[in-house]
Amino acid sequence: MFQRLLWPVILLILAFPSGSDAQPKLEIPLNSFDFGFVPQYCKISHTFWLYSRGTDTLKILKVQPG
Amino acid sequence: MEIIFLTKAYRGSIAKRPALTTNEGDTKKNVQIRANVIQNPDSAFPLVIKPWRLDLSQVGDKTVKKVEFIIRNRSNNEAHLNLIDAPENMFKIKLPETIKGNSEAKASVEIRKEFLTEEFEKSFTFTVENRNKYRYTVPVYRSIRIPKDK
Repeated sequence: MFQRLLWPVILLILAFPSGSDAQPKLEIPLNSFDFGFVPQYCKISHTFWLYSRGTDTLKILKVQPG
Repeated sequence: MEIIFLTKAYRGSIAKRPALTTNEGDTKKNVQIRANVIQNPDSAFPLVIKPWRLDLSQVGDKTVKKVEFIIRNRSNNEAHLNLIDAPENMFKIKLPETIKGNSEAKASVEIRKEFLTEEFEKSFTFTVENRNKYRYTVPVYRSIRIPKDK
């Protein structure tokens, strides 16, 4: 009887981890871009898509130029 | 995340690796950009773009929304062009699909009306295939100057 009650509880714990287990996770599927030929003295740009794939809010703390 | 690259007086192959720090952990994550900076635009091969830096600036009340440019194929082989990257929903870019060897074609960039009141410096990138594959990035900029007495 005790085991019958225990299994659903274990499944619930596995399905919904507690707040302390929450982890942010950053995914950048396309993390490289080649502009090819470009002229001198100009400004060019490319947009990278960032995805938050974790269980907690992802915070971008700093971006350092290369 | 938009990465902006100033080509300055760089020459040749350049790579940059901006780093992101997040609350994910101590490890930084990088993105990488690469470019081949050409000192003399007329020496580019297989294509020469004229002008290579597109100016959509507006002086006065008359709205400037479109710029045309010429793409010259300096090689003997037919070139196939394909747009691969541009700011989302900002421009209508018309590129020729093919340019025969040693000939030229017209192309154009038109600003979508939502961006007509904005100043910007953006760019778009296309690939060129003849026997080899190349990429070209075209800078596009816009400033707006309307005289005060108007």
